[in-house]
Amino acid sequence: MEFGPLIKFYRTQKGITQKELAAGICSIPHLSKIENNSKDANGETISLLLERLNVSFEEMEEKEELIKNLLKDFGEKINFYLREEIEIIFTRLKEIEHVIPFSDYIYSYELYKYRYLLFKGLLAEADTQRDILYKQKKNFSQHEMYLFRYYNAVSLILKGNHKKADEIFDELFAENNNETTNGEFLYHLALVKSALDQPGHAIHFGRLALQIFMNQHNFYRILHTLMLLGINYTNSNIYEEAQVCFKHLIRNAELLKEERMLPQIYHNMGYLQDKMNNPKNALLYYEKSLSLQPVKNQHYIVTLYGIGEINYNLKLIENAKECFLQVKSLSKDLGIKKQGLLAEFYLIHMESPEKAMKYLEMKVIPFLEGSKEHKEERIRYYKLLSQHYNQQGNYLEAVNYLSKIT
Amino acid sequence: MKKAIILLFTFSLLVFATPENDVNNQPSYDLAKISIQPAQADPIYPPVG
Repeated sequence: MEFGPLIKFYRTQKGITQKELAAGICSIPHLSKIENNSKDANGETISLLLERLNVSFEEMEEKEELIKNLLKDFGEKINFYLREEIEIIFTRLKEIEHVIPFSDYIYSYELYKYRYLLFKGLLAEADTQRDILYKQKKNFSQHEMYLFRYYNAVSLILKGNHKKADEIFDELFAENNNETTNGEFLYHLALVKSALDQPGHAIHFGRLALQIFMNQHNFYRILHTLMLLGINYTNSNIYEEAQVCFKHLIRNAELLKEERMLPQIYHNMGYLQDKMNNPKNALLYYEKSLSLQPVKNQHYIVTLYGIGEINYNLKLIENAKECFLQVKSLSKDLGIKKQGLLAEFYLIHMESPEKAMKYLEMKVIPFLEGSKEHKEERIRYYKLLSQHYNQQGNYLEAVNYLSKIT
Repeated sequence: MKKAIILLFTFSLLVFATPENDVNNQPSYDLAKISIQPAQADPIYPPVG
C-alpha cells in the first residue's frame, strides 16, 4: 500500500497541518518527503503517523487484503453471471473506494468498475470509465492491458460493432497461442462470430465455452451458451441438434424458474420451427413467448414481428396487419429501426407490391447495407429485387442485384 | 373461302391461347406471399453480460 499519499489524504481530510502531525515523530521536511512518496519511511514512523491520525496500520493492511479478495470475487461473480451478488460486492467495494487509490489494486479496481458498467449495460458511463482508463494505460501491467482490451471488445459487442470486436478478439486469441481456458472469453467470441453470420465458428467456440462452463457448474452461462448454440445450429440447418438444445433449455429454465430466459427460449424455438417450415408450430411458440413478455421492449418487438411474418405467410392478412402496425408504432417509440422498416415494407406490400419494391430499394437495403451484419437478410432481399426486375424485363437491374449476392 | 377458314382458325387460336384470367385480379397479399417467402424473423440472443 502507498502509505505516503494515504497519510496525506487523512491529514488533509482531518484538517491537520504537517507541523502538527510531525510533532515529536519526525521532521516536517521528512513528513513532506514521505507524503510525496519521495522517501521510504520505516514501519515505526508510518505507524506513529497513522496512529496520530486515528488510522490503524494493521487495519489498512487488512483493507488491502480485503480489496484483493473482493476484486477476485467480483470477477468470479461476473463470470458466473450472478446479478445480485455482483451488486453486493460492488457496494462493498464502493464503501472502501477512498482507500483503493493507495492500494496496489487501483487499476484492477477501475478496470472491474468498467466491466461492471458494461455488465449493467450502462454504456455512456462505461465510455467515460474507458476514457479515464485510456489515460492510465501506460501504467498497466500486461494482465491489466489484456483486461482493458477485452472489455473494450465487450463494449463494442454491446454497441453492435461486432466487426471491430472480432478483430480485438482475434488479436487477443492469437497472442494466447489460439487457446484459452476462459469460458467467458470463448462465449463472447462465439457471440461475435454468430452476429457476423459465421455459425460454424460460433458453434466451435460455443462448444468450447460450454465444456468449460459445465466443468465449473456455471449454470447461467451453460443456459446462455446452449441458447447461442441452438441459434447457430438453426442457422446452419442442423435442426436436430438445435431442437435438442432448445428442449434442454426449456426443461432447465422451467426447473430453475428462470422466467427471464423462458420467453426468449420459446421465441428461438419458434424461430427454429419457422426455419424447419413448420409455421403453425412456430406461431405457437412465438405466441407463447409473447404472452410471457410483460415489457414492450426490443425482444417484444422481435417476437411480435415474427408473429406478423408467420401470419402473413399463412395468409392471415388481418392478423399480420395488426402485428405490423403495432411493430411500426413500438419501434418508433423505442427507436428500433430494423423491425420498423421491415414491418412498414410488409404494410406497403399489402397495398402495392410495386411501391414496396421501391421502399425496399430506398429504405430497407441501404439500412441493411449500412451494417456488416444482416448478410442473410440482404441476400434474401437482393433475390427478391432481382426476381422483381426480371419479371419486369429490366434485366440490367436484375443482374445488378444478382451480382450483389455473390 | 380458304382465306376465311384460315382467318377463323387464327381467331379461334387467339381465343383459346388467351389465359382465362389475363387481368390480374389476385389480391396483392397473394403476390406478396409468392415473392416474399421464405422470410424469417430474428432469433433473440442470450445476454452479453
